[in-house]
Amino acid sequence: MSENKLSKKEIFSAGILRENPVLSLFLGLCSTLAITTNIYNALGMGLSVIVILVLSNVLISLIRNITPDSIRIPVYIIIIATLVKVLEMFMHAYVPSLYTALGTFLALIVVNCMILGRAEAFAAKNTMVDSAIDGLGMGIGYTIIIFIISFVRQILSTGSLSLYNPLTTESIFSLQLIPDGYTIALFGEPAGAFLTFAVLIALAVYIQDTSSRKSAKKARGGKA
Amino acid sequence: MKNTLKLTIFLGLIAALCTGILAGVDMLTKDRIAEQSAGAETAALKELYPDATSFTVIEDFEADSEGLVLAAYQVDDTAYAFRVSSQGFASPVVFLIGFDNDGSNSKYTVLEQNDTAGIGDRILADEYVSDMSGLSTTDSFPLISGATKTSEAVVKGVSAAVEVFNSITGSTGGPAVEEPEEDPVALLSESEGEASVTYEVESKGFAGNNVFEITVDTTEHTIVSVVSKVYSDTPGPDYGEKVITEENLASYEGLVISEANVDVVSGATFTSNSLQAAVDLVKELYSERPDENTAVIEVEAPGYNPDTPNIIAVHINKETNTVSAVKVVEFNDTKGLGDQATTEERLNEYVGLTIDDEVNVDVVSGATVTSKAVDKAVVEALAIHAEGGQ
Repeated sequence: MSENKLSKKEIFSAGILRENPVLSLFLGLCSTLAITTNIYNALGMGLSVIVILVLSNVLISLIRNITPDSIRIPVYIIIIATLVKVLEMFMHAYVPSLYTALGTFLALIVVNCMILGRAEAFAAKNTMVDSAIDGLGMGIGYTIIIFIISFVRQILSTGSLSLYNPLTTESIFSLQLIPDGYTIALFGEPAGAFLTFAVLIALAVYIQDTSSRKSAKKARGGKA
Repeated sequence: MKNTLKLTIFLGLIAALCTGILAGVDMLTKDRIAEQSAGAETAALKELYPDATSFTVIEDFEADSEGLVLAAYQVDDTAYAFRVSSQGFASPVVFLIGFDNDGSNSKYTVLEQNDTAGIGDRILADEYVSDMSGLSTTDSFPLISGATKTSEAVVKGVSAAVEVFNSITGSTGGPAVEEPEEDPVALLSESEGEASVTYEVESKGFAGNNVFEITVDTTEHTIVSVVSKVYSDTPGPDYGEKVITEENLASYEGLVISEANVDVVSGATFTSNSLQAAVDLVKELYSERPDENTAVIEVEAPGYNPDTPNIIAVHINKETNTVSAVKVVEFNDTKGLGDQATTEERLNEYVGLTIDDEVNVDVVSGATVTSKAVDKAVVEALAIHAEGGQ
């Protein structure tokens, strides 16, 4: 048992690389494709998901020993829904611009399969600290991917990159990278999200393939 | 049984706990959320009227006939503003429009729109915003060429707002909205080729009339070519000209004429519709075209004025020797009287008659002379056909 146990570092890095929820598990695609029109939305969504994921993992892990097996799914759903609703209310009250930008997709975090998936696959079987780390890793992995997609889409569709402070709506930075008239409006539309995402998956598969080939070679070389 | 009870209690406890948390958070954030949403609504109004100090919601305004006006506000006591939602090309356009108390000095800003990027969203452009500003309720509000559907939605919404403005202030009059005429199309010429027929059709576009030449293959019944002869819509590759590109015109080629429909080109709605109207006319004309089995005999039908006789074309089926259609080629009797005898309905009553039948179609009261003239013409045509002549 102790041999199979993953180290804290491995748990954390699993979500970012090996088991990235979006790229290799294909979870939470709905929001990934819908809200990645600019980096502001992506960061907002990413942070929301990290918060929900860590909290739900911690809570579910806490009650894992007293939760009856036959009703665990409804219990998880109630907990996740409550957390999302609480986050939604706070966001509506304090960062209304982000609340309007994320729209329904904020409420839809409840049914984001990533959250329930991690609750079921990890938090229900592991200690509280490990679950928190898993939630953080998975959340960061998700955030990195939607940030990359939104980065590409925002630059291609608007030609500029900008970010503003959600509390004061003051601009933090704004860069014009592509001159007007050379932007591709398509990337602001859902089709652009699919294109960007497809290229990203292809890239991830390529990188994984080459690295596994390399390590296989190394292993053979070591034996010989 | 005991186990079920245990499960129920556990789930109930969790649910009660969560409900409690939600109620607590709701109490914490309720006031701020209410403040925020009210703020968001007035923030946009504040942009239109930066110097105003108060915005009062008018609760009981009389809705416009289409129900487009969502909310009305009194701005201090100097102006009125309206939040309007009007269906654009793809989705509703929500915008604010304001007028001073005397109906002048319009102000306009868009709150929400999702029409085609780069086309419909030009209703957000500074240029259009300034075009829409400073007008009065009796002015005509501008459309954008190439974004007709979206800007039409805005103009329609403005009319609705003016209606509400009038009912609140008790004034009358509204913007002179120019209603576009319903696709008037007309056949200019028709020429027979070898195994083909070419129609030259004039059709109203956005600005003026466009002329298209449409050739149909008479054996395959397909469109051979569509050529743009005269183009009078907005110049430039972004608007109506998208319709007359070789590529778009070529998309009609090979289509069976009776089923020829092509998608409207976004950003060139009016010009697209004008081409489609031309194709529809050709479709109609072609379906009425006599085939090899039909003899067309044109006969003079001297009516009220014998010096200028009407000319009637009688289509006779060569196999059954029956009348298949009667058409008016030239009409020279009194309009409004004599033409009651040449309505499509009455002419259809001749269909199916043969040389042996007694031609006995009702004489129209008030158009007696013309009725009888048409009767006589049909009999004459059948006689000519029986002799095998033209």
